[in-house]
Amino acid sequence: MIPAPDLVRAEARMPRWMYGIALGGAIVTLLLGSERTAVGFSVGALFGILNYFWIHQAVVAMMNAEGARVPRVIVIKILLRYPLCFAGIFLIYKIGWSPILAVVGGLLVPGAGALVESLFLIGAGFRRDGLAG
Amino acid sequence: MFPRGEKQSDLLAQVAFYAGLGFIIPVAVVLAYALGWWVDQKLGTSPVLAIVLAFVGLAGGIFETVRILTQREKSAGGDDSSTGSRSS
Repeated sequence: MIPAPDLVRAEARMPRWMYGIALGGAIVTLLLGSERTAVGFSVGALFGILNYFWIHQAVVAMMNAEGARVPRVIVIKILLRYPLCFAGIFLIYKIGWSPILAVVGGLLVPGAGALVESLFLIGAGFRRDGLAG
Repeated sequence: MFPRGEKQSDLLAQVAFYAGLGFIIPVAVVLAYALGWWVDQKLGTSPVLAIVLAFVGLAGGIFETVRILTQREKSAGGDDSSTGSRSS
């Protein structure tokens, strides 16, 4: 099993991958698509990364509660934040300001970050243990 | 110190675990978006449900990934506590 400090570092690295992928994706969509596509992708990425931090906060609070009730503040925050996010994305669609697929593509940024981190951890495992050695 | 075979299987188990972990969020978003898109076509509500379900899939995927990592971190911390190697 990977030692706990490595997992703590992995959790800390994940948002950095997300920022990098969001920035890279925005540049690529700007170069290959249009300004509107790039803005849509960036908005999706922003919502996705915010989502990651909110859920991370909620899961850590739940884990610390260990069977006890989840703090009411966390529940209220989630209930307030998500409708606002839906409303924001729906508004972008309604006014036709940006292609909705670009926004959905931006929502994939946290997933890409997790994927890159998993590849990084696999690579680190091979470097440390070495199948050949 | 592990014998070589045990070390290899431990490493491969880690590879499988982290490869699977990395796919949870993308697969959840894509499947949820596809389901939303399909229901939207049926109900003529495009793209409301696709957006809502993509967000739900994203939230679910992130929740599961962070939960697994946090749980593993806790159990690894418990294992490490005997050797005193837990930091932060």
